Amino acid sequence: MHLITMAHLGEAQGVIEYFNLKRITPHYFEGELLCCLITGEGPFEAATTTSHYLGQKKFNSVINLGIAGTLSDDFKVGEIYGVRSIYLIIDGKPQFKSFKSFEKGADCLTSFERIVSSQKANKLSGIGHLVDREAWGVAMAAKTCGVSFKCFKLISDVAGTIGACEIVRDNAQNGSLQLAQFLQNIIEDRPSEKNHTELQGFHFTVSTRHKFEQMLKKISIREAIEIDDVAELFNLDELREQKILPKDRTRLLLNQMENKLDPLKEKLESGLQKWKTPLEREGIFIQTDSTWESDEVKLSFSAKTQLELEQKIEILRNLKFKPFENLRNGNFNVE
Amino acid sequence: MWNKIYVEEHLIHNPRVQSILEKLKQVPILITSYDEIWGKSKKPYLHKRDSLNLFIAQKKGQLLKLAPDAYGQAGEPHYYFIHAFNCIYECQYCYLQGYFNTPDIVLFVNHEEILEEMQKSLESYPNQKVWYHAGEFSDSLALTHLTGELELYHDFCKKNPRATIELRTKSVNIKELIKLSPLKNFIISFSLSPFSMGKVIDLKTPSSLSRLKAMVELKKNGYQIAAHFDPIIYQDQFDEHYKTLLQTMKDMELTDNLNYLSLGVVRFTKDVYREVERNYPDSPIHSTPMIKSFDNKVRYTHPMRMWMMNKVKDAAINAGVSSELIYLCMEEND
Repeated sequence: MHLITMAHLGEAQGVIEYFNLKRITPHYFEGELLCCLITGEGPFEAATTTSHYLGQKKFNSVINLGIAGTLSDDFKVGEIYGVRSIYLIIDGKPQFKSFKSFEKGADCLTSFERIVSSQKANKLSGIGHLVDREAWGVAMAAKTCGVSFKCFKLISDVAGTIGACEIVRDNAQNGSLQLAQFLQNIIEDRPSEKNHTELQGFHFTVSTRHKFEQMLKKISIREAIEIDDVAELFNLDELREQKILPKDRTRLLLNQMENKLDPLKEKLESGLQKWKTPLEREGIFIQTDSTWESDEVKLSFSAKTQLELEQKIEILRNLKFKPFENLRNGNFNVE
Repeated sequence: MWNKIYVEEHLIHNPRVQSILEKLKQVPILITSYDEIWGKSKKPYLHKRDSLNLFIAQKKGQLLKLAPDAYGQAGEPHYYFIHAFNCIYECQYCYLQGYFNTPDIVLFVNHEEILEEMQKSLESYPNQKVWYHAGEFSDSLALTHLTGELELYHDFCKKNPRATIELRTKSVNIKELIKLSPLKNFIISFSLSPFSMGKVIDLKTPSSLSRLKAMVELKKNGYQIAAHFDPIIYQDQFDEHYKTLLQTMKDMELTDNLNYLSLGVVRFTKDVYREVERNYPDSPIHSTPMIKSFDNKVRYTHPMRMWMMNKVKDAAINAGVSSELIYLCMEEND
């Protein structure tokens, strides 16, 4: 279910009729696919009313749809644009918090006051392309509630020009219908993304799935191939033939992927094991920082007799740190 | 190139500002102070691609910043001088994307005040060589055809042989430099990436080969030059790529003419790393695992960065760079 927010009933009339929405309150309309909320003008009004309805019902996304004045020749009156970033303007000055709607599109300034002078419009023109009165407030509410947010604006007038308000009022009916038709196009269902962890014979937990997907992405970048093709780099059938649990098979696959990404991992692990093994055989255990960042080495053992204690101390006396230091310093050509 | 140009209104009759505006041929918007708009709202970094604004302003507050020991002998004081904020280039690893709240560029025009500060700092070290670096917050050559301040800094070096200025750049905009006479204490240093990697990560910059050609041109004109291989980023065969770069430098007779070569493996503060992930999700930077390191910066593992640094260092020595002139940058030197 989408929540469509619009500032005025006049703008929303097309959406209400087009989607056959039922009036629930004077400002809130419901339908099968979407609900429409009339927020009123101003960022605080928009933020509070949107927050209120997001707290009442679960919505998949919030779409702010409405009209805006243009500050740039690149964004023409009568066209609808996706909004990229939204900034808040108070007393003609930008405020710190901004919100993102799309990667590309127009940058919208939500202003507390109407921009009716060309001087004010000119000063703001370096900050954004459009001016509206509510998008920032809606974005604030949606982002705070963790709901996906999108914003589209129909350019109604040139900001800072005389008579802009009259133009908006005169074109309200046409604009309203244009917005409704546009909305129909953007809310059509999109195919869901492929789930890469649906691999027969493998079991993924939340954390292994996350790790797997991250590594898929990294390997696709490294190898310059599509994510869908990454699995082909690994012999999954060979892993499937091993008589082990699906979660252990996943662990082996993740290990192979890590080795592909980290050119030193295998070398470091085998070098470290070679250094540790003789001591481990004697019951002395070595623990090092798994990230290799710290040079600290922890040694532990137990002894039952004075003799055993002295034997182990003697073994430790002969322990050489050099092989560990060489590994840690990336010197692989020395023994 | 510029979406809008904002000028602090008290500077509008300043000859330097007039000269810049004449070259830009764009009507400026007058404001009281650049920081009433610049950086006031969080402007996403990549908006610089289509809505980059220019602010012309007076730098207030700190004009010089003391830097950690960097290039040259340890113990010599190093300063950055701040004549601009932000850069026209778009290097995927650039720390500026997480440093300011905006990619918009500020050009400060009160160079005389910056130079006064430099003079004062120089006098506070009566018997020492003092370094001044440009290029910490902006490329130091890219816009010099507009800003025209090079001569002032050049004069400072001429009058003060104890002061050394380093102009750090990825630009090949050396026209203004060539008009000046070379000085021993006026060093132009170029940041270089291997050819293949540079094409992918040094966006909107002149190619590494063009930078090498600019270095040759400067060398021919008697200039002191230096190079930075920083950041070194892992890719398959990265050492071969550096060998190719160094061989080209050797063929162009650059390797034995460097004042210094600094090496640094890629590293980020946590905030910058997050920005890089957001801005360049498909960058090769993300194809190799990184960890939170000893100083909380995000880096490759210790063995990896030491291995990479040593590989490149060896390649540089084999190509004729003297080992005493190679400095390891921002890494504990063990």
